[in-house]
Amino acid sequence: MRARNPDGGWPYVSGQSWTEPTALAILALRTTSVQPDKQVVEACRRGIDWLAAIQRGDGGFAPTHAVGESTWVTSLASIALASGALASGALASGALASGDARRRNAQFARWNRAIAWLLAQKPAETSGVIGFLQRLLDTPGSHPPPGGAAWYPGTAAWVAPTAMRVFAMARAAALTGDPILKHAVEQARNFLLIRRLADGGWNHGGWYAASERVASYPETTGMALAALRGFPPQVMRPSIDLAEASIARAGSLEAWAWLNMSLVIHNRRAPTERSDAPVEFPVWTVRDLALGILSSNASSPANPFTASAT
Amino acid sequence: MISRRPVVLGPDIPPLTRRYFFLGALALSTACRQTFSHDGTRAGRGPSAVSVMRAPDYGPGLSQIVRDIFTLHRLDVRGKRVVVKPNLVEFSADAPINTHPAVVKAVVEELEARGAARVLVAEGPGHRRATLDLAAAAGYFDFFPNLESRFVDLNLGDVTRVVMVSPQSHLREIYLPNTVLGCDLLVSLAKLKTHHWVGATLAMKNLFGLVPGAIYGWPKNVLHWAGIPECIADLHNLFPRQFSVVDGIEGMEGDGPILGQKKLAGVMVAGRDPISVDATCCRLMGIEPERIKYLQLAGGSRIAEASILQVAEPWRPLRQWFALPPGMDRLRAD
Repeated sequence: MRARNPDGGWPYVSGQSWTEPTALAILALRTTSVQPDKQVVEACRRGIDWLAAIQRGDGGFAPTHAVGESTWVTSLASIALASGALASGALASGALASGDARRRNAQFARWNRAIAWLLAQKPAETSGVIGFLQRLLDTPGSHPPPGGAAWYPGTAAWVAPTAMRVFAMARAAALTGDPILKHAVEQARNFLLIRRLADGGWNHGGWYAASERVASYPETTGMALAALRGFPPQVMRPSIDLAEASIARAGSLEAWAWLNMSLVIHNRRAPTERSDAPVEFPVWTVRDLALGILSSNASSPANPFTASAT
Repeated sequence: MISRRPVVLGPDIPPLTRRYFFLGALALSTACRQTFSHDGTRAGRGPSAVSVMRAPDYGPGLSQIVRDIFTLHRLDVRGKRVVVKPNLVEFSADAPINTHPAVVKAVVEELEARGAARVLVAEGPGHRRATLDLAAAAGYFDFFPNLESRFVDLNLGDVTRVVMVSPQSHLREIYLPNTVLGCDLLVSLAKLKTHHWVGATLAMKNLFGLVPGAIYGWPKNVLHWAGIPECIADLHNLFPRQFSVVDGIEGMEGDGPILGQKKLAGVMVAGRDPISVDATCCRLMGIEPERIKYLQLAGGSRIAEASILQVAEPWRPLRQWFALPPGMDRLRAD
């Protein structure tokens, strides 16, 4: 709460508000208690307003006001919007009459546009003239699996933005039942599985991920594993074992948070288990803090990464 | 000061003589007046001065070596806001992947001793998002117990859109951190390493860490799609007020910049012109700089040995034949 900017958004550390820490801060605050106090509710409302203001005409979200491009943060923003609309009941009950209801419906409309933007994105390696030429010339990495997401438009697909795309799309698919969304989730999860490394984990996940010499990162391993809910245990076991072995030496609060959530999702650890709570990791950014709160509140139904809707 | 200089060298490396140092300082004094404008920016004429100093280890003698480098190059930082940009890549205190924190500390202390108004350490790693945790794993907090008080994560800071004039790459604009756009001097504190895509990663390639990951991601794939050598040249052109120091005490050979092997090179290379510094580093590594594409794009005639005023130590006796990345034998110097 103290890190919040006067404009209602959150910075990573200080200065301008950014979409990623703002979305994560809203999500984290919503998991802090069943009946949040007025200050928290107001902070979330203002945070959502900040997000609404940064949504672009194409439906996507820019990373910060200084940037004129929609990027991967659209996934996180859509999750924050959906959680806000869900908390208010707007998605379940349809159009309402009051001023609050109009606000919630507007939030729902923004969420719809964000999901449409996400659906329309194709990484550069699978689309356009460059993708065609690469496939024609059979250059390395020219046959990427579909479904991945890029950090920035016009570039290749990577593990972290694809995992965030899974969280956003899976929630949307669960809420709407749309088969197109379900298919998009399936493809994105398949992308993550294909980019898994020999040790069972994930690094940033370029086309050269299959090289035996590259090592996994704990943070991306946690993200990808968390996004692969529901796969058969025999498929996921090497990754779960690696996550369990890695969590004690995660190296950062972000990595610990994702590994912990992934182990909760895959039933390897109880949501309330805090034997290695992240006291040993310093909090450098709002992102760290928000992820630490989310992971520590893995049992909260308001946690969009561990809740069954994903 | 010169006569009091303690020189600690390995047994197989002949010492830097006072004669070399004196002649170097004299030559550099002339060259600096020719090559640079009063505020230290590149003026684009005359030979570029590059110093090669022997530096056998990261021990106590390093501070004096850094002091000598700054003295040789007559670096005036009084009242200036300086950003020191190390190369932080991976969680490792042992592998020669990151700029050694002892070098960063020696440079920061020397800048402060010379009257810099503010010295920040700033980096935006290209693969890992937890920058300060990465710095901790690389041993930086052992040298800077309160590193966070002077550290800026360039991946996450405030940015401004910069329009490129006549770019070499496909980029027409780029967002860059205000921390570096607003500084008076950018010190690129790189590591002497081979690179599996561009041949060598030195002072110029180090500027990839200025590009904010919060916008472009991890890795900063926009730069790959726009052309890596071209983007290196473009970033170089955006920052005319630079001083480059390359940590070549322990370098990396082979499959760099992460998976290669340690190479003890025992040198520190420095200068105001990153092109000349990188070209000299290439020669020290047994790489032909004219075959490094980003140097060709950015440097033209400034790569040539004749256009570089070599000071302190001559590079030839210090050359080490770095193993090249797989498939890059064409880069080998004849």
